[in-house]
Amino acid sequence: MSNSDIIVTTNSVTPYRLLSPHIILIWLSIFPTSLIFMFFFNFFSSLIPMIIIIGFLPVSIVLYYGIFILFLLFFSKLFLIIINLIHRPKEGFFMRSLNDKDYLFYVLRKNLKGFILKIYNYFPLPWAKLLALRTLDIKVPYNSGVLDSYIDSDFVIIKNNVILGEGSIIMSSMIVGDFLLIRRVILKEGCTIGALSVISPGTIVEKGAILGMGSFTTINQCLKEHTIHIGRPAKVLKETKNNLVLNQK
Amino acid sequence: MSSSPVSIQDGLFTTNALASRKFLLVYILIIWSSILPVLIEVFLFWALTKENIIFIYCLFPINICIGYLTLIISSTLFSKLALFITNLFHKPNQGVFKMAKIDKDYYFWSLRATIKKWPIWIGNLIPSPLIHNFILKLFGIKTDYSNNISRGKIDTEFIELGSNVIIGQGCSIKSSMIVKGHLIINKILIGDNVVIGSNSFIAPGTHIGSNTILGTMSVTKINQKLEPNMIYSGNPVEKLQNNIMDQIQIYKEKEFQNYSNNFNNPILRNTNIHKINEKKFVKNLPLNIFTFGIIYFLANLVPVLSLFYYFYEYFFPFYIQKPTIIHVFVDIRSSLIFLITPFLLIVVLLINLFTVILISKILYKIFQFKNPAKEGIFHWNDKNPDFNNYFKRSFILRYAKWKIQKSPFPWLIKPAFNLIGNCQFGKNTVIEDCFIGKEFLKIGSNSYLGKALLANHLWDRNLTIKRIIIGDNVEISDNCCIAPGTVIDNNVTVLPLSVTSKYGKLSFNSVYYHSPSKKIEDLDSNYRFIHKIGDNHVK
Repeated sequence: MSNSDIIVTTNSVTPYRLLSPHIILIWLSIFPTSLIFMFFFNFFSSLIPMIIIIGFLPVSIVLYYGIFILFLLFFSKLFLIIINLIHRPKEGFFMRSLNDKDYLFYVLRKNLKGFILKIYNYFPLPWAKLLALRTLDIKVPYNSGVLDSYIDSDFVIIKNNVILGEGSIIMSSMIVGDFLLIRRVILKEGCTIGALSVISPGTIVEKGAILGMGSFTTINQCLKEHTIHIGRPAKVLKETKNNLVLNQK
Repeated sequence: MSSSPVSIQDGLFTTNALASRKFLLVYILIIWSSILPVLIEVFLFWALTKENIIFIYCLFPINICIGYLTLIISSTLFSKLALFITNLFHKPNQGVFKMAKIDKDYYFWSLRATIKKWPIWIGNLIPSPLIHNFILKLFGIKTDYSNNISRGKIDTEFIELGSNVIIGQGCSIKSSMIVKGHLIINKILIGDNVVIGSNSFIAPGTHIGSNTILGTMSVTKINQKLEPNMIYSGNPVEKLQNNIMDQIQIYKEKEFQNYSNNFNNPILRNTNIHKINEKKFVKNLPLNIFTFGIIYFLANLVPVLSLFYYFYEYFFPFYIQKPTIIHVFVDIRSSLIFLITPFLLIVVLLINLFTVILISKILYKIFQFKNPAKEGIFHWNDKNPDFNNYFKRSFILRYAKWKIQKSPFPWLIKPAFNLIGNCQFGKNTVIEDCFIGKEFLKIGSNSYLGKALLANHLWDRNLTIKRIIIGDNVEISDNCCIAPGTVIDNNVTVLPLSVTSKYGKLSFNSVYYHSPSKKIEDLDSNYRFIHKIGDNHVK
């Protein structure tokens, strides 16, 4: 598939002026957090001297924030389940207008997930983001290194020991003129995606495949097992045996 | 896009180049003045709720939202005021300028960037295109609320956007660019319904016609004019034969055919998660949480306790509990507290950052003492202590880097890394919001690093750790990848989206582009190259 046949663009959605669900989410999750904290504060203040409680104020602040974002995740998951019950996420080729039901619900899902994940980006322990990704239907195992990459909101399946480089982009959706294309992306066990590279919708990366830095795949491309690919768009460079030491100097 | 990298900030962009340290005074003054309206908002909130605890709980989220909006509007307006004053001294010009303190245009470009930094930092906290467009409009830039610009880095001056523009993830839309020791500023025009692919670079002076699509990883030349209703891709971009309607037709035909082929394959259809061969990548979890706990607790102990004391003893009784806002300004002590509080917040933030750096330094020293950092090639099955220790060290450095790069003081990353690890950054080196390796970096003086990737480690079943050495007066543009073991000589310029190979060498006084990086051959002297750009600019 040559570059002139199909070009890959981007999957950003046009902004949807929808801030009210976010405010409702924050509102909902502040209540239980405050209640829990009030309860524990009243409980411990009778047992432990005040000086120690004040001394552990930094810890309690991060705990408060942690519980708050956990509740945020819980309520957003509830929202997500309701949205998915009304309309199931589907792969396909859709019109890019809000009259199209698929596109409308795609935008809703994306808005919801993007907000929660951005908040998890600012948690002092960035590893908390893995939990958020898993809860919001993006299948990421804990043993994969995915923190510094852009990952699309649904239809991305990531298997064990996958490593995504810094600034790499995994997208399962893309805008083509007035249409929106959604295709499943599968990254299989032990594959490595180089930094600043782009995976387009429908790409299947086989076990142990490696994509070099700064390269991109075309739509529905399949990267072979234990092979290094590089280029724009990606082409086979050479094969590697399993667990072979590469380019040793 | 739902997930974004944890270590950099998307959205609007201003440079970190600091021509003079005096600019920081202006920056702190803007922060100080923009927090004052928020304090008034907090006062009004307290007066409205009348200390009723249920009211406070119910209205707290609204208070946060209104406070955030107040901060955005006040910070933008104050920085606009400062911009207005600086523009009286020197009008912003387009053209080619020398990147030196003596050059007035470079000096004021840097000053303008510093002034805009605070409102932009505030706006980038929330990923809403609504807020980004709002800030751009307040700065007097033509844009529309239907534009989706919050995923790439977009310059905040000399730019004009149409409506329904979509900018991909990790794009750089730059109306100012540094090449060969020169600063090039030229206006960018983007028409309606333009889609720009991810990780692409739009150079200064590009005009993009309406309905045009740019593919992923495309780079435009300086002052390039792109026609409307066309498709462009490549590095540098070239026009494709088919137009958009043809493109959609091709998608519809080819794409479905391939898709069905892929999914008829029984091996590909199997998507169950296998539990074989599972090795934990998140290693040393208890140790990591322990070190994080130590850093976090000690770094926040002094700031939080001092703030708590200040709020309990002074802020609450003498400011918040005053009956009306007039009582605050009549009383001298209350008005003093009102004026001092923003400064105190800034000081506390700085103390927090410095303590993080200091504790990371001590912890790094301890790890270094037990098992010194080594370069080489390690395998993760070998049970090599070096491999394990690399991850331990990188955890500590990662937190410090994350903390500083996401704070409103990103300039601190250079002194902090000079202090903590075995990195060396020379004098006057500018580091933008980029993915930098945390160890084994040696960068000379007067260099400029854009939003690039400097990788000191490479992962292909094995872990390769190798030092990157960069000379003086080197410019690395946006979205470049510098592989481990690369040696870059003095006076080298690496153009956007170029990739160097492992153990590559870039030779003295030359310009590199493309992936893998190629030298521009017919380059007599650097001045001729710049003059070419300058000639184009005059047209």
